[in-house]
Amino acid sequence: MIMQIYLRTRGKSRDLDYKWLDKSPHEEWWQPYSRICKFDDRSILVAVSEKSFRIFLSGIPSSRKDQHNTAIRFTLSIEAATQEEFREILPIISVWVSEIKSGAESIIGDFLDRSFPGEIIDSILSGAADLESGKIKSAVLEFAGQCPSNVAYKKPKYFSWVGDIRSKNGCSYFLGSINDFTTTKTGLALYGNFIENLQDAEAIPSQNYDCLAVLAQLDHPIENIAELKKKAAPQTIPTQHPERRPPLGLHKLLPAIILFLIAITALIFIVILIMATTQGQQNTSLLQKIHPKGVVPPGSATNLLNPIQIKQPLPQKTQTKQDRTTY
Amino acid sequence: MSNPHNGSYHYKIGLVGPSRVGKTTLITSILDDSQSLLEKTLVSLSPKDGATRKRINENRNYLSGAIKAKHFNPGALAGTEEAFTYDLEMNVERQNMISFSFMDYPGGWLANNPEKWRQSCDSWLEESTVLLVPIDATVIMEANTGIRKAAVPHILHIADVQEVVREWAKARKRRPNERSVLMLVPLKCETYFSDNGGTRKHEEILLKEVKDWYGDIIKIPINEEIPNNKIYYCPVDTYGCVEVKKPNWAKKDNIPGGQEFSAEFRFRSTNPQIQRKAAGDVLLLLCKHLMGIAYYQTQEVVNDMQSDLKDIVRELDLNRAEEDAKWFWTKAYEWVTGHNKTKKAIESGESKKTDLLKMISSNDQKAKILLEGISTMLKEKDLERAEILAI
Repeated sequence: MIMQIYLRTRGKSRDLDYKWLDKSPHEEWWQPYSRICKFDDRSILVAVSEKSFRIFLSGIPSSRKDQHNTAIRFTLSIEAATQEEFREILPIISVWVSEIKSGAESIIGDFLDRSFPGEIIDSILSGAADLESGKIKSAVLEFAGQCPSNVAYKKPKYFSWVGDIRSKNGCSYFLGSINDFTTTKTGLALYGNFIENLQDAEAIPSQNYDCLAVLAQLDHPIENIAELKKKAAPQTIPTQHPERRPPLGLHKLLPAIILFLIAITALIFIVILIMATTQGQQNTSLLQKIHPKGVVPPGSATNLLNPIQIKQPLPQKTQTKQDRTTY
Repeated sequence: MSNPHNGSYHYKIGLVGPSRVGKTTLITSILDDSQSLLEKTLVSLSPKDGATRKRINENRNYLSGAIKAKHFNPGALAGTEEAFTYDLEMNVERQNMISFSFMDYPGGWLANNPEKWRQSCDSWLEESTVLLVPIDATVIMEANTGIRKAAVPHILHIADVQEVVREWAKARKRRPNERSVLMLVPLKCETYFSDNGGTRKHEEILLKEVKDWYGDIIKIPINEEIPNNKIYYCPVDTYGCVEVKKPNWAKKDNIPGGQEFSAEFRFRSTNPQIQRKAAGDVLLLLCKHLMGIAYYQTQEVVNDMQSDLKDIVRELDLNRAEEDAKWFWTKAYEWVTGHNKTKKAIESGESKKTDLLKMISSNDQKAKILLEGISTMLKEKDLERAEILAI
């Protein structure tokens, strides 16, 4: 892959709205930051990962105005393929950061106006003409070559930090962080026009980067940079193998099983006892049938088993009138 | 999207118009003065996040700066380069009830960037319960010759707008229970009304022109037979303190229609101040509509919950009967093992019943507040300029 540079602007006529000249980026990688950076205004977004070096500069003022007298802007999206290519672009970043801070006229805008005059842009956007292949890239690299190459930067003491763009050293630290991206670290650096405080800055999604450098116009300006607590990446929950069934947990049932066995044993014992008692009563009534008077002759089997003399059975209790009244 | 069963009421507001027609200006006009416009009601609006708040404030600064500079620039608001959603919260009686969002986008996508339109706008508009059609009133009112009139549909991209409204209407038809509103909103109307410091009384002409140019669009919801749809006409004075001084029509052979339009404005007084008129109509109709939808959705939720409650109570009764009919040994076994499905079902049913009762009561309360909120809003007949075109 080679370095890709894309340029977006609009034409004078009502119909020639903002559009990428020539070709558009394959991926709108800056979109996740659209509620942090106001891309209709001066902003910068630099995202360096292990695989890519991406730079997005928006709100670069043009001297052109549209039919309604509204100021027109340029947007540059740069995708460098190597660290060397990224270093080539650093001077433009440095110039643009100082232009965001000053809010003054833009030399980048002037250069783009000179390289891409209004009539050419109008004819490209209306489809009447085609842009010369590689023209945007050559123009931007030519401008980078004209920018001062000795970028003044300071090394920030934090990996992730927020600073006020109006402060003395905010921009130098910002460039320092971006310079670090050219060596070993991955990082995200941006000027967030929608950021108002530290909490807003801490909410920036940056888990995929080692460093986060944020410039903003804070509600309560700070002179030095403040460290940002990076949010930890969400912990991944190990997924359970679908075929592996969870253990049954029989050990939890052990007390219940023991209790159940004791209960069963007790139950069997009670049943045997009841059966034995019932058998005894049956034998007695059999003997009573043999000896209707209820007297067991001496030496009989029952008498041998039960040495207690079986007495005459008690007469059945008949309910008297008096008894009923006591109830 | 809105999910009333989770207590979330979120609605999307769609805007359809070409580049430089005034989409951002319309959003700014109706949100900028929301506090004063809603002050006699129980309703208030607030930005949902810092990005929305900052964006509204910046738009306001651009507009007021253009007036204070005493050199009026109708293009004071910077054009939109990327889509942006304005996320707002509507509080009724200080309770956060509804949230809604407008999506602003570069108007050039409508006619010249179908891919971006498909990616970003199609699904948004399909889900929008309200569709606003901003119209540049100066274009239709200042086209006074045949050639200029012929250029109007090209300048305002009326055919493209019509196509989008048709798609929106079809999507509405697929959601017959959700009420919808189509609003035609002519902007920069201060030159043609006499009720805000102007001298011309061209309000009837403007209405006629809108009906002529946008007649086919007005008919779409009727032809598509969308249930529960209303069409409003809401002309708005965007600035109030200016009026058209000189319309400029320029012949351009390389653009469709062959004519390009712009207008020069002048201040009405030496000490001009933004004096919007009828932007409140749009806001009030919008709030009233959203509260109405939320109210009906709450009622539906309550009905669903009551039906669920009946099912739960019936199941609870069955489970209780089953538990009572259990044999002693089954109960003993369940007691020893600790496994009693029926008992667990009863407990869970009881908990569900309690939760449902709480939710029904909370939704009832919500519905009551919404109804109170609606009752404090202006009636349609009391609106400043808006009128209903069709139901």
